Amino acid sequence: MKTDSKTYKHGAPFDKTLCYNIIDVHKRINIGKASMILIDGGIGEGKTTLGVEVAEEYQKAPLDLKNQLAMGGKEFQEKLKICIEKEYNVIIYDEAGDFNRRGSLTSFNQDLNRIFETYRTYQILVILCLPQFDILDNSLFQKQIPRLLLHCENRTTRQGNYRGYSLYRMFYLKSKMKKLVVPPQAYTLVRPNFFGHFLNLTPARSDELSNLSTEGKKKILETNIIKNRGLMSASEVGGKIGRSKSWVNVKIKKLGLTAQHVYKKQKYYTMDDINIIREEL
Amino acid sequence: MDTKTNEDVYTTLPPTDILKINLLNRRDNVTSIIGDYMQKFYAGGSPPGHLVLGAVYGLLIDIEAQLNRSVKEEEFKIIARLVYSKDADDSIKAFRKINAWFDTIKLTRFDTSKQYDTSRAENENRFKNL
Repeated sequence: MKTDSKTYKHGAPFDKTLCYNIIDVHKRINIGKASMILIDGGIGEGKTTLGVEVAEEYQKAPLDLKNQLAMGGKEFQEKLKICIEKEYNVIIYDEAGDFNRRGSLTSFNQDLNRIFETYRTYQILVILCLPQFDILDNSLFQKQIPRLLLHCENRTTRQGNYRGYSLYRMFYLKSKMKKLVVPPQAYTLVRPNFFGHFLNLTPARSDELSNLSTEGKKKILETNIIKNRGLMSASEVGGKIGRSKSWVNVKIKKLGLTAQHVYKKQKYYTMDDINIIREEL
Repeated sequence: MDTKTNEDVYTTLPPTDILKINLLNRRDNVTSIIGDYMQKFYAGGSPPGHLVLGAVYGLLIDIEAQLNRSVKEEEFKIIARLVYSKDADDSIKAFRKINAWFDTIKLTRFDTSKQYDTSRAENENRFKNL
């Protein structure tokens, strides 16, 4: 249905079938079972938009974007804590590609695994937005935590489109993706449980989201630049050479080293500086 | 020393299962007779309908009590009227109604997969034990 309003006739910005599926997820969480909604798709297909709309439909109130939308795993852990304190019942973990199979042995993945094993006691719905769902750590699927996948595609200026898959069909998608040369073709080979459209956010809300998203992406870009230049903070240097952060700071002051880069009040040093500090060991 | 053995131990089907099997055999017989009748009819002949009448009549006697209990009174009267009309075409109509009733009581149903609403992902997950 073509409309310029924020919602369709039934009051939601997406099809009624998705509303019923959200109710089912709600019921599952209410009985203390862990549930997660995955939203994937290419860049610009409306994953975050749909995530916000689904979250607002779930909690029947506007989202506190500052505290309920997290970019990346580290922010997610911090904001999950805030959501628990404020008794919010939904959180969006955007850019969730950092929680992937390849990092299965990292402490980061282990921390997140632990969170996903235990967060059901707080009765919070987690919505994960990422480019392709099959990169996620397999342990999530083995524990049957993701219940619904919404694959976004073919977004236009007026609306986006999605295909909804159950956990059962997600396993088929994963299997097909392993074999295909072009993995995204799997979405056309496995029949979804339902199709639908979703409307764009209102301009004001969209700007708010865009600012937050840009801020988050700027942060990611900045940290990547720092990493690519081989710069390290005092705590990272300490971790590398087996000393405390305070020990490193004392040596930096003693040696009169100056930071190569400062970002968010954090000083970063070059490899040469690190080698000089190492000689003090 | 007395030891228990499996000799003289009989296995048997419950009476309801035996009745169902008999009913299915009889239904199969009626279907064959109607098939033959229609074959001759389409071949341009005017076959006698007494075999059809007799077969459907016998089937109705088998299921009369249960049918009377299961379906509405008007429906039962219609089926009975069709069978007793002594017309082969009416008997075939009656047999089709009886067949439909067999399907509702799941006697002849073979598409036994459980039905669930596939547009609800959680329904499917639950059905598939996930």
